[in-house]
Amino acid sequence: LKDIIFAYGTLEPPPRLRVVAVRLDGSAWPALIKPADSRVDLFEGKAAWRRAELDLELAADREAVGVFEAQHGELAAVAVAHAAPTMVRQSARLARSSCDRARWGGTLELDRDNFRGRALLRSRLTASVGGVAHRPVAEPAGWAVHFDEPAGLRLGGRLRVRWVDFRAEGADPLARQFAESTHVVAFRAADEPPELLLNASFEGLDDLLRDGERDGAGRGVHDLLRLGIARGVWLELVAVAMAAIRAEDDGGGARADWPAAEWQREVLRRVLPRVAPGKPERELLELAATEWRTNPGAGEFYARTEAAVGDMIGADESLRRLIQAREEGERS
Amino acid sequence: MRQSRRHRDPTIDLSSATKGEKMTIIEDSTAARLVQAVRAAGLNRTELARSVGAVPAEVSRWLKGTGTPTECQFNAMAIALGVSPDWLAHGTVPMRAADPPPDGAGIAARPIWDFRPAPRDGGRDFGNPNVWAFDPCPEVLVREVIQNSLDAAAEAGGRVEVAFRLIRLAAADKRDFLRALEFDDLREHLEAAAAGGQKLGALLHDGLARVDDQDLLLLVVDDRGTVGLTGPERGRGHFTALCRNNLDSNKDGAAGGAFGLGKAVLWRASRLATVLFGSHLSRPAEGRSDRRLFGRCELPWHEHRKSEYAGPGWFGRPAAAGAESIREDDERAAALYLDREAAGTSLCVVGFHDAASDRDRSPDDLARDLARAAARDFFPAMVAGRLAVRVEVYDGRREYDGRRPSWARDVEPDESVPAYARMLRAYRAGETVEQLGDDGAVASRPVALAVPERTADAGHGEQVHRAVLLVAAAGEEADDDGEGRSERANHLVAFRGPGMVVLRQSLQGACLGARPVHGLLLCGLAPRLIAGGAAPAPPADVAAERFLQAAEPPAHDRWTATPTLRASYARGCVSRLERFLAAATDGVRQLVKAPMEDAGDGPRSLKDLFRLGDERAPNDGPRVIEQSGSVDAAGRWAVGARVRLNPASTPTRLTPAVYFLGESGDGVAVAWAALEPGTPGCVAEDGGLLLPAGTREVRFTGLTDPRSHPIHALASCVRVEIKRFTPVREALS
Repeated sequence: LKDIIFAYGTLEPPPRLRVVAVRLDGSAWPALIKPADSRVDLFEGKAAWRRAELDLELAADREAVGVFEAQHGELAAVAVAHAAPTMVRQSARLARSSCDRARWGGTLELDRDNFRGRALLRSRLTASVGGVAHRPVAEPAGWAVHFDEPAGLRLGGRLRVRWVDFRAEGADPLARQFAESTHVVAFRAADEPPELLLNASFEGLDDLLRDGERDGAGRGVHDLLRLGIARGVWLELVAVAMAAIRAEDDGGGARADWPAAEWQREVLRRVLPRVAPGKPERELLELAATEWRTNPGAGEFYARTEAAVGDMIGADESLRRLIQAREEGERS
Repeated sequence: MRQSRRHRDPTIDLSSATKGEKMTIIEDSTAARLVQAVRAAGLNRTELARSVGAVPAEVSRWLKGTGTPTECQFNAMAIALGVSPDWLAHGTVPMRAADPPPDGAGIAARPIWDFRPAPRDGGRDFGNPNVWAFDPCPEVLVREVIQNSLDAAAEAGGRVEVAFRLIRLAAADKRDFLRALEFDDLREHLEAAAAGGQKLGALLHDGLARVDDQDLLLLVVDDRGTVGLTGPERGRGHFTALCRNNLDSNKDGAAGGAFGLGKAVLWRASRLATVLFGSHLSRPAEGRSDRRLFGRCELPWHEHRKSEYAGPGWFGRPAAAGAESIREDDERAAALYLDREAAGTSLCVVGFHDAASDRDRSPDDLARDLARAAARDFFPAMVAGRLAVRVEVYDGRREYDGRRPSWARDVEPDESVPAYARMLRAYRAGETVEQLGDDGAVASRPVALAVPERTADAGHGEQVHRAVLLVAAAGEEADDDGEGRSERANHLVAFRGPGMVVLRQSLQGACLGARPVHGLLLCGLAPRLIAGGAAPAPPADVAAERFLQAAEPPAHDRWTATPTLRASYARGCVSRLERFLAAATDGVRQLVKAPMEDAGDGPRSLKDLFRLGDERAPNDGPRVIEQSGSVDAAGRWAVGARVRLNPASTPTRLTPAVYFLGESGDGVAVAWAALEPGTPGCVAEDGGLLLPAGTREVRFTGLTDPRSHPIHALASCVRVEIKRFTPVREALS
């Protein structure tokens, strides 16, 4: 309930949510719980499971609960798992402990078929306020439940980059179509981050891109190539993420929302503040959903984006270093 | 009216028929014959008035020759009195209708064309707008006709057979048909409407000219295994929905159609705006269970013989309230090519043509289009065994009576859409695989549709439906849409329970560079339609079926944000729909793209340029660092906030807003009723704050405007955020 203003008093301090046990199709898998990160990694469990059961516990300050209930009546607890990729919400009522009035517990059942990617697990305490039942009065920090392995963004922090033989029979169809290209970006399901595929059959490319110490012209070519690839790829990522902004006009004017896919939100939140510095996030989203997606605003947007991306990946700075090194080489 | 044909004749006494009232009328006039018939029938004017839906005073005026009955009242009166309408009007034929008519046509009772009188307010509708709602091509007609037949199946899930018959009539065949149609009467109205000069008038003018000079083409559509045109003459039922009413579908939530708009394509396909109906009923209607014959002509407002008509007219037996179904007149039904033996409905489009084409098309050519359209849009219902379609062409009465068509085709999905038919059969046999390979197997995977809470009528909570996605490799010939073939590679074709294709979506871009594929998406009750099964459908499947139906526009050719969808489901329903369709496309991509051989990770120096997640771009925009609020007695949010910002070199405009928060999404911004800066030098203007250059922090208080609240403030929770922050050119005074 941080940064939210309620029309009534809420419970302070907020309670704490814990996942105390995980079962996959009835078998216990305690190692899937990562309390330090408030995370449950179901994808690390057995293959092809059908139902996960999460035992949850919600603990609040006993004294605060007593004071709050004296004013507002009895508290109730509920837990909800919300998966954006499938737009599914699964909830479970948490039962109050008979021996500790500030503790609630229950089991959330999650069917594998209904979830993809990551679900946010939240819990709430509710009470009757002003005669209205089930008003939220406390919400502890949530947990993340990973059904599929996060594709290297939040956890790995980088887009996946792979060497692939573009001429091979099993190569990505796009790679096969552009078998002479140095690289292509493979976009898969909307909520799955794309991959940068480097052409292993492009003779000499490996030498130019391989990590390692270089000096002089070798360093310059290496930097120019990787930065050129990065600039183009970033523009692709931005274009896809811009197209995924959800705009809905329900008669009361257009409403915009960030893309559903996490990687697309990340791309925009990383790039847009550089495209229009100083703008609040709300305004950036509004511009991205309207003016920057239409003619002629899109032209100016991508012109700014290219410059912003160049700045972000350090392309200009790298070129400056190269020029400097060249001049120094000539002088010596 | 018929009184215009009266002759001047000697007077007669009318006192017995008019309660002793003395009057004088012209002998050998309509009024005189009316008096004669009333006496012969032994009726008084009250009884006669009741039988024709008039008041006795009106009857008195007709008897005196000082008033004029409507055409309908006139015909009803003839029936009530047991006399021929022509005798009553002109005295030129024998008095009794039972006497054989002089032309010897063999048709017993003479039906009428009964056109609706113009409204008293003088309004003129120059046509039925529904007629213009759809593309008037044969493909659309086939969709509407078969959809109606499937929705009218006698048993839920039972087999329906539909036959399209194109019949070319020339010379005597044409003459006999037009006589059975009472075309002379209809023609007067058609000519009057054609003379009106409106859009439809020109088409009618052309149609009339062709009737005189060219062969007449009929499209007769027979369905079997359906309930027939059940229901009363007026009110609610299959009969009135199809034959009388506009925008009346008479269908439930699981039907293919739902608007009652599509049937208008029938009249658009007629050069004479005329469609006839014949039906054997599966259950009695108004105590009668057998054959029913009716017709409708869809004209614009017109004036005929000094009377004004609203537009539509009906072909039937005369009755007090207007034309009604002709019952059990087998001879006339046969003469109109509407004779039938089993329960179901026949319809006849008089003067059929392809209204979307600017050239005359041969019956064979049209027949091929009809067959192709049936396969293209209804192959799921055919593969499921719910539908059989046949198309025939007849040249004249002799070929028709002998059932020896000059061209005929049973529509077979295996011939017209072989890949789709194979995919559906593989699914039914449980022979699908998880990934598309080179062995020609059909791949399948579920696609989740999160059906939102239904708020209308029998509502339900959120449900998760699993649609079935089928993908198969397309052959080289797949793009050929030539003779009979109706498949296109790299398209996703979707349908629900009735087995009619709703959506055809290009997969262009989704499978860039991949081999060509066919995609089928079985939604709602469609998996059950194909796979069969007697168990009741899971609630999520039923919910998805209704959800998707609500998302169909009148043409039922896509799923989109219809008003019905928005009105029937909780907020966010449109996003759910969009996500479902996007997930289906993603699903195709997943099935098509095989895992690649990995030649190792790329260089770290390149990966480092794609950092995401760990590091967010520094946002140096203004941020709310403190906020508080409460709801006042007027239902307004009274909020206060402190905002920190990087000092700018020019004045700036800061637009804060209070957002009403929901369970998900970014919330709804509401308007300010008042905004008050608490920092010296700042000025409130138009819902924003003008800040002088160099401002680092600003405080403000504000009251929201309850008229802009989506819900009552007491039921809400809110957050203060900065909506906009822009430099302003003009300096603050």
